[in-house]
Amino acid sequence: MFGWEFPPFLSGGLGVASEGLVRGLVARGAEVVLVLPHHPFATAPGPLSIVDAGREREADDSPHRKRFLLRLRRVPSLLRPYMTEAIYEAEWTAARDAKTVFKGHYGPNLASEVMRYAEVAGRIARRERFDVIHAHDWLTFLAGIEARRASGRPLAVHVHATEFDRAGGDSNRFVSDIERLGLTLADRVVAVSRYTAGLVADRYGVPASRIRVVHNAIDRRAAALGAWRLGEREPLILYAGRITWQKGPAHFVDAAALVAREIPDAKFAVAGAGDGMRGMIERVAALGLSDRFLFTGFLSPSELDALYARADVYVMPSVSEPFGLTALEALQHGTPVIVSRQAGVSEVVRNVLRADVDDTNDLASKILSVLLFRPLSSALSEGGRAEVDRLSWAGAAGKCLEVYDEMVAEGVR
Amino acid sequence: MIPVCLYFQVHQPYRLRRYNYFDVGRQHDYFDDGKNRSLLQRISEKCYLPATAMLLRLLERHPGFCVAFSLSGCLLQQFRDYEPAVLASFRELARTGRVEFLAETSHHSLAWLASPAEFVAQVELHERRIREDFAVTPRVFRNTELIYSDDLARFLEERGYSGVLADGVEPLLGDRSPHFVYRAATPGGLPLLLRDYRMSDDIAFRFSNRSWSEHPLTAEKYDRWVSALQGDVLSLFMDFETFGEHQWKETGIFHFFESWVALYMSRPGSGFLTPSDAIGTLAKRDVLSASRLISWADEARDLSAWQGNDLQRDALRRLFSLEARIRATGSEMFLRDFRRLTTSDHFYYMATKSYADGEVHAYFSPYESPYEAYMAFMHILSDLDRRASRPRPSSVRRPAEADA
Repeated sequence: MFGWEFPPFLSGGLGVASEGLVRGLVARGAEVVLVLPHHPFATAPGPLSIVDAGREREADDSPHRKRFLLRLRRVPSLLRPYMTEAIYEAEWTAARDAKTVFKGHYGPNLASEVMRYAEVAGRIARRERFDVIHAHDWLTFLAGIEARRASGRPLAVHVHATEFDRAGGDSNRFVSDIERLGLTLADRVVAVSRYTAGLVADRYGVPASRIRVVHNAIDRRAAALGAWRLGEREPLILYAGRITWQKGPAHFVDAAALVAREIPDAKFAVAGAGDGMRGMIERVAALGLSDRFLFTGFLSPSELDALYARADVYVMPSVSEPFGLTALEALQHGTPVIVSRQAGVSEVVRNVLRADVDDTNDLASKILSVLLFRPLSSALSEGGRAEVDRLSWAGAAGKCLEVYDEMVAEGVR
Repeated sequence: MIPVCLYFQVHQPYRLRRYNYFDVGRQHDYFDDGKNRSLLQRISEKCYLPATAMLLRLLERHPGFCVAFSLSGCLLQQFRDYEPAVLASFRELARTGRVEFLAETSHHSLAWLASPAEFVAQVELHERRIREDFAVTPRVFRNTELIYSDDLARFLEERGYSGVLADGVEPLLGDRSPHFVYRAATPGGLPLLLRDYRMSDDIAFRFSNRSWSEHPLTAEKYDRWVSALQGDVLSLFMDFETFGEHQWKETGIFHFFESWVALYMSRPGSGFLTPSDAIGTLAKRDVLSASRLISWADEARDLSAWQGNDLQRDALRRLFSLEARIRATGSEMFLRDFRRLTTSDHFYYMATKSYADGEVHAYFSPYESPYEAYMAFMHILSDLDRRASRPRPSSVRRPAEADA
């Protein structure tokens, strides 16, 4: 499995999903060799929660030798989820200046680093024993392809987002070419929603017979502790996630302007950061809403939990949203959720409102409806939480195991 | 051979337009005329026209054949506005003298659950409309979705109805057979005619269901089942839209029904009864009591299809909180809008029940989700509330253009 570490700070669903899936697979007794890019500046001690889940098991052939179900292979690398070339270059410069302990050479640009990572992946694949390969999102697709070539084992590529979601099209040819290569060569494509499966089929020409849908999930957790220091009575409308075009921050601000006019004490919290943050702040200021908005930056999971719990409604106005894990997180806290019509998450939860994000009136009207009609917010909250409680990563992992079985039965194409 | 009593419910609501918070105070036209018209045209073509034609053929062919209808006032108004040909074909059926029209609320409403005054007003409105359109006065009552209780029966008895229809469910019947006329738990023992829901739903719901063990249902098979029944009357009550709309023409539903009627009529001792015939001629059995409300909807056969969750209860409470104020304005237009909103369908669309029933609700709903249905309805109520609360400009006092 070419996956990602659980991010110490909120930085999107890729790390959360790949960790959840590994935990689910291990819980179902599958052996996982997890290959991760290990960043020299990683502040957290690494994927501790994964190792905790890596129960020991008696190896079948040798009753006296214990073996972990999970084997971690960390590859020093500057790759991070959702990386762009500009971000990579900044990190590369920082790593060079800091003279990090890594003795090898990081690639001078994102493309070369992705290819270097693939080379290392090939070497690992020759050493390890495994039946199938599973790679998450385009940054690891080349690694998956290289491992497949080196081992002769079938490859599943897992699509959490495509360049079409992120940028609305082939704006970055290098990225979309790697995506196309991975999707074309893979023995199976795992999509996080039917919405994404449709996109992969339509935009990348992958035959439906090779695409499988495995929806993301969420595991039960303890309730959030701590309170967010905000006026306790003011209606609070929450945006959480990367602030970038794909997530529709402009739609949130436009709807907020309409809501703010109708509900004079309504407040809006924006948790997260990203390349669109400055533009969002400027838009808020231009609309005269600065005193209504709170920009928190990236939050720790416990801080975000407290914010979910405090919010009256969580809004995810994405332009294109393959899944939208944060909607499940909000529902887990009993917070009513409004998602865009294009979000894959509404394929697994029915107790959410779906809005046309291009229609600011529709989005604002739904926010106001949740704030004004208590029976509506209660029904969304209770119904949504009940649905989320039925989901688990072990369930998603079970579906992945079915995909693996298919691939093993068919062999490499 | 057991006699058969056929009653068909014929109803379409006034569906609402897309309506959101920002329409409040701006858009006072709540009903989607375009959608209502085009749906009525489609349903008329697929169901009402061919199904009334089929019944006319059966009435001509079999002198012993008869049926009963309950036509909602909001549908009769839509026929007038959009499909006068359908109204003409119902009138043609009425002219045979072998078609009974039942009493109900003008707006196929939940008024019984919320306001006795409004219930009476709608029942009277409906009676007038039936007299106007068919020159008959209904004598037997059928409440919206067969919602029924002892209280309702007592009320109907006081108003002089000769009988009432209800669903033959276990809470009412216990282990008795639905194939007799019973008495309601009222001082006068109002005659009570009960639907055989299994035999009715075999046609209305299960006819085209391929996973049903009895699929395909043939006239011969259904005839065998009917022949095996004992009792005074088999009451088959169902939506008229069963013919051609819920069960498409391609399923063979029309052919099935015509063939079965012919087969049944060929049996010695067979015959059809209208509800008034059954109530007038058959012996009345035990007194049956329904202290709680029952209905013919969903698996629960209670009120949960329309009042099963907080959204539905909130919407009904809020709607009827406007009643007195709207009546006080004396505006026929406000009253017309209010009444169209009392139609049970609006509440049905807000059901959040999942599993089998949820799928039935979704089939009938024009909304993407029950929440959409609730929000549109509630924003419309906000607008109606504002209009009714404001001192009215004189233009509002337009002459009557009420439904029904």
